[in-house]
Amino acid sequence: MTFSPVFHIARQELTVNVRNKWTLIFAVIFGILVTGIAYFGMIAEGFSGMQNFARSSASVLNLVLYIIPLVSLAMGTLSFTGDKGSAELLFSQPVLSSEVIMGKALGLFASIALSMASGFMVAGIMIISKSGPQGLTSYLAFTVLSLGLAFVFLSLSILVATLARRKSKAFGFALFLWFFFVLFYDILAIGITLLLSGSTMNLFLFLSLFGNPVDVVRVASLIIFDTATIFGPAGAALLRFLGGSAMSVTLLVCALLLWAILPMALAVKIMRRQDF
Amino acid sequence: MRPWSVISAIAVLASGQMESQGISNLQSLISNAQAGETILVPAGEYDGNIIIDKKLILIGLGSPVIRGTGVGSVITVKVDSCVVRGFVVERSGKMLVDEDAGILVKSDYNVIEDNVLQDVLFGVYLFGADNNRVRRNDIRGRKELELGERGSGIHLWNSYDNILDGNDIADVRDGFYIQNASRTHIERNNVRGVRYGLHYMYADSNVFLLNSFTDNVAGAAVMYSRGIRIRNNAFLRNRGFASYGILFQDCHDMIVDSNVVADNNIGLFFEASRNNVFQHNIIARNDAALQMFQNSNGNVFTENNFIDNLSPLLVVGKKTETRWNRNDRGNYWSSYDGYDIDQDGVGDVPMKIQNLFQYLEGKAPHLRLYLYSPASQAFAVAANAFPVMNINTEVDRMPLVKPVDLSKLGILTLLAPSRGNHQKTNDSVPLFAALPGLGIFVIGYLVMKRRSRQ
Amino acid sequence: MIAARHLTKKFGTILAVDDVSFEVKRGEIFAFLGPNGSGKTTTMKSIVGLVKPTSGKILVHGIDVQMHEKGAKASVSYLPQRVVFPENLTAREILYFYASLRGISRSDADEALEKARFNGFSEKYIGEFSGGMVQRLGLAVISLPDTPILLLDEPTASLDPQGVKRFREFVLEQKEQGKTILFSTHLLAEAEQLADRVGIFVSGKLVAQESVDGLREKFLKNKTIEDMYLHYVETFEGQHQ
Repeated sequence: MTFSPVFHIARQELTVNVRNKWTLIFAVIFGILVTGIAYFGMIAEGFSGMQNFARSSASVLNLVLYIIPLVSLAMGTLSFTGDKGSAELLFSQPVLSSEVIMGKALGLFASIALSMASGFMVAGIMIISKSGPQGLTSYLAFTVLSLGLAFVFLSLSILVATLARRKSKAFGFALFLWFFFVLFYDILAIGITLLLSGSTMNLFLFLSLFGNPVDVVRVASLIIFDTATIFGPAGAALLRFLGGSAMSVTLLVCALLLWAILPMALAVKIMRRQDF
Repeated sequence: MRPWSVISAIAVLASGQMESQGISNLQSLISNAQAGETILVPAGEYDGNIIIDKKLILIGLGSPVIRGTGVGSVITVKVDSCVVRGFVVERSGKMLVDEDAGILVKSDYNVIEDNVLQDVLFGVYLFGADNNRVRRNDIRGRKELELGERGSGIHLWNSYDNILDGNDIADVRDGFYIQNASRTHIERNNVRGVRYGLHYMYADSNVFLLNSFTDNVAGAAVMYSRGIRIRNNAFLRNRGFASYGILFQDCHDMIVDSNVVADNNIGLFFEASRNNVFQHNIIARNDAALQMFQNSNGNVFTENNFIDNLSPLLVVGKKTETRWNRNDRGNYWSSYDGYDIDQDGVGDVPMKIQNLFQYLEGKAPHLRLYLYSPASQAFAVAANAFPVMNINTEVDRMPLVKPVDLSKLGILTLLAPSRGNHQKTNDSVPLFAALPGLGIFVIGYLVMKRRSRQ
Repeated sequence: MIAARHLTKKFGTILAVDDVSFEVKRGEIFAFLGPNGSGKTTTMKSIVGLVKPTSGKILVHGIDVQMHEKGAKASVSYLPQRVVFPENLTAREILYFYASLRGISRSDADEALEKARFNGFSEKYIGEFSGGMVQRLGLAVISLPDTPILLLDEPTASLDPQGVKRFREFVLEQKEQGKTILFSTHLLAEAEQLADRVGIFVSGKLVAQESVDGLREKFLKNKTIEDMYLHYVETFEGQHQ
C-alpha cells in the first residue's frame, strides 16, 4: 500500500462529502445538540454550581454515544455502497483495494470529524466561557475519543457495506449494528452479569466492556473526566483490575484502535476476493 | 461564673524585659509565675516545648510563635482552667501513638482559642479532658505526609462536655476525631481537604451545628453513637470511589435536619442504623443520594429536597423498612413526574424512588459501570412501560410537587459567597458563544453554494 | 497485448464465462460481440481485476493480472458500461483526480480537457451534465493516461447518434496512435465498422474469433454478417437448452 493514492482518494472523498449537504446538516444538528445539552445542563446546575464541566460533558457524552455511531454508520454505508459505475472506474485504476478503502475511509472520517469538531468547538467555547478552562485538556481528550468512536463505526460500516453490497441491505444491517452496540449488547451483558456471581461476575463485567466500542468510549471518557468516581466502588475495582487510571485509559484506547482497525482489515480481505 | 474567665492576677512583661531574658525562657516564666496569673506574651519567637502545670492565662500579643523541639507536644496543659490564646504553635513531634500535638490538653475547663497551629501532627488533642472550649483555631497539618500518617485536627479521646467552635481545619487526616466523647457541641467549624471531616465513634448526645465539611474523602463518618443532632451543616464535594457526605454506621435515634448534602459520591450512607429522622435537608447532585443496607430500618425521611441526584437510592439487599413520609408529608424528588390534581401540594401518584437499573445495582453493585449507558436508561423506561417489571418496594406515597422552601437554612447564609458566584454568571454568554459557530456554518454553506454556481 | 487462457468464471452455480481463450495483438481493435448476459462484460472486468476468475488466467502486456494486479492495471484504461461520477465534483476536478491516481500532472490533465473541447463545461458540476457530456468526460478520463490498452464496455449503448459518431471518431483517433482497443457491443454494424477482429460470445462461450473479413468469407456471399451472427447465437443457445 502506498500513501499517494490513499491521500488522493481521501481528498476526493472529503470534497464530495463536504459539498454534500448532509455533512453540513450533520454539523449544524450536532453543533446545536451539543451546545444545547451543555447549555441546558448548565442552566439546570444546582444552587452552588458544582461539577460544571464533568456533568456537562457527561450529558454530551450521552449524546455522543447515541448519535455518532449512527451518523458514522449511515455515512459510511452510503459511501461504500455508492454508485457501481463510479466504483468500477475507481477500482480499475492501478490502485489496490486496500488503498481505495483506506482512502475513502480517511476522507469520510475527515468530513465527519470536521462536522463533529465544529460542534465540539462551539460547545467547548460555551462551557469555557461559563466555567473556565480548567477541564479543557479532558475535553480535548474526550473530543479525540469521540472521533475514535466515529472511526470505529465507520470501519464497521465498511465491513457491513462490503458484506451486504446492496444499499438497502447494508442500511438494514447497519441499523441493526447501531441498535446492537448502543443498546442490546449492554442489556445482554447486564443480563448475563446477573446470572453470574462473585469474581466470575466481576471478571465478566470488566471484560464485557471491551466487547463494545460504545462502552469503551463511555468508560474511558468518564475516567478521563476524572468522574470515574461516579461508578463508586465498581469504578475503583475496574481501575484496580486494569492497573490504574492511566493504564486503564491506555488499554481502552488500544481496544478502540483494535475496533477501528479490525473491521476495516477484514473488509479489505473480503473485498480482495470480491467481484464487481 | 465560668472557670475560664477567672483572672486573678496579671503579669505584664515588657518586651524589653523579655528580650534581655532571651527568647527561650517562656517555660521559666511559667515556672516563676503564680497560679492564677495572666501572662501577656509579646510578638516574637519562643522555644517550646511548654508545659503548663499551674493554672495560668497565657495570652499572645501579635501572634508570638512557640516552636516545639520536634519531639512530643508543643504545649501540654496539665491543670484545669487554663487559657491559651493568640499563639502560633508549630513543630510538634512525629509520633501518632504519643499524641504529639500542637496543644495537648489533659485537664478540664480550659480555653484554647484564636491560635494558629501549623506543622503539627495533631492540632488540639483533648486527652481525658472535660468541659473545655476549643475555638477559632486555625489548624494546618503536615501536607507533605500521606493522609494515613497525619494526625487529626481536633482529637477527643475519653473527653466529655466539650465545646468545639469556629475552628478552621485543613491538611490533616481527620478534621475531628471523636471517640468516647459524649455531649460534645460542635459548631461553625470548617473542615476541608482531609480524609474524614469528622470521624466519630462511641459518642452520644452530641450536637453539630453550622459546620461545613467540603472536599474531603468523606464528609463525616458517624459510628456507634446515639441521640446525635446534626443541624444546619454542609457536606459538599466529598468525592472518591467510596466517598460520602455522611456515613452512618450503627447510629440510632438521631435527628438530622436542615443540612445541605451536595455533590458527593454518596450523599448519605447507612449501615445498621435505625430510627433516625431526616427532615428539611437538601440532598442534591450527588451521584447517589442515599445508599442503605437493608439492615437500616425505621428511618424517617420527610420534607427533604432530593434534587438532581444521579440515583436517588441504592439499596444493598432486598428492601429497607424506611418511612418516606411523616404526617402526610413526603419529600420533594426532582425526578418525580406525577401530578397534583387536588392542589394540596402532595403528588397524587406515588413516587417510585428506584428504577429498575438502580434496583439491579443493589444486587450487583458493579453494574454501576453501565451508568450513563443507553441500556441503563432503557431499563428505567422499561420498568415504567411494563408494570410486570416493576420491582419498586421503596415508594414515597406522599411526594411533594414543589421543593420545600429551605432558603432560610442557616447554612445557606454561610455558603452564600460561593453560591452567588455561580448564579451571577451571565446566561446569555453561551448563546453569544454559539452564534459565531452557527455563523461559520452558514457562511461555509453559502461559499460552497456560490462555488457550485460558477 | 491481452491474452486470456481458459478463463472461467462462476457466480455461484451460474457459469458466466466458460473456458474462454483469446488474444488481442498490439494495435488491434477487437470487438466482443454477443447478446446481453453472454459473458462479454465479465470477461472485460477480469482483465482489469474487477472480477476474479474461477480458473484460467489473463495476461496484460505479459503480466498476470491476478498476480500483479496493480502493475497490469497500469497499462489498461477501462470505461465501465455505465460510468458515473460524483455529482458535486466538476469535470476538471474529476480529471485531476484520475490524473493523480496515474501520476499525471495537472497541466497534462488541463491539456486533455482542452483537447476534449470541454472549455465551457470544465468548471461545471457533473450533476448538471447531460448523458452525452458524461460520456465525453468518461472518454477524456480513459484517454488521459495514454495507456497502451483501452477497454470499453458497451460504449455506445446509451448514446444518441451524435454520441455514437463521437465515439467512432475517438476509436479511430486512438487507433492512429497505435493503441490496442477492446470493446464490447451488441451492435453488429459497430463491430463491422470499427473492429479488426470480432469475438462472438454466446452463453459464456467465445464461439468464434475471426477477422471481420474472414467471418464474412466463411459464410456464403448471399448471407449478411447479421445472418451469420444470428446463426451462431441460435446454434449455441440451442445447444445449451
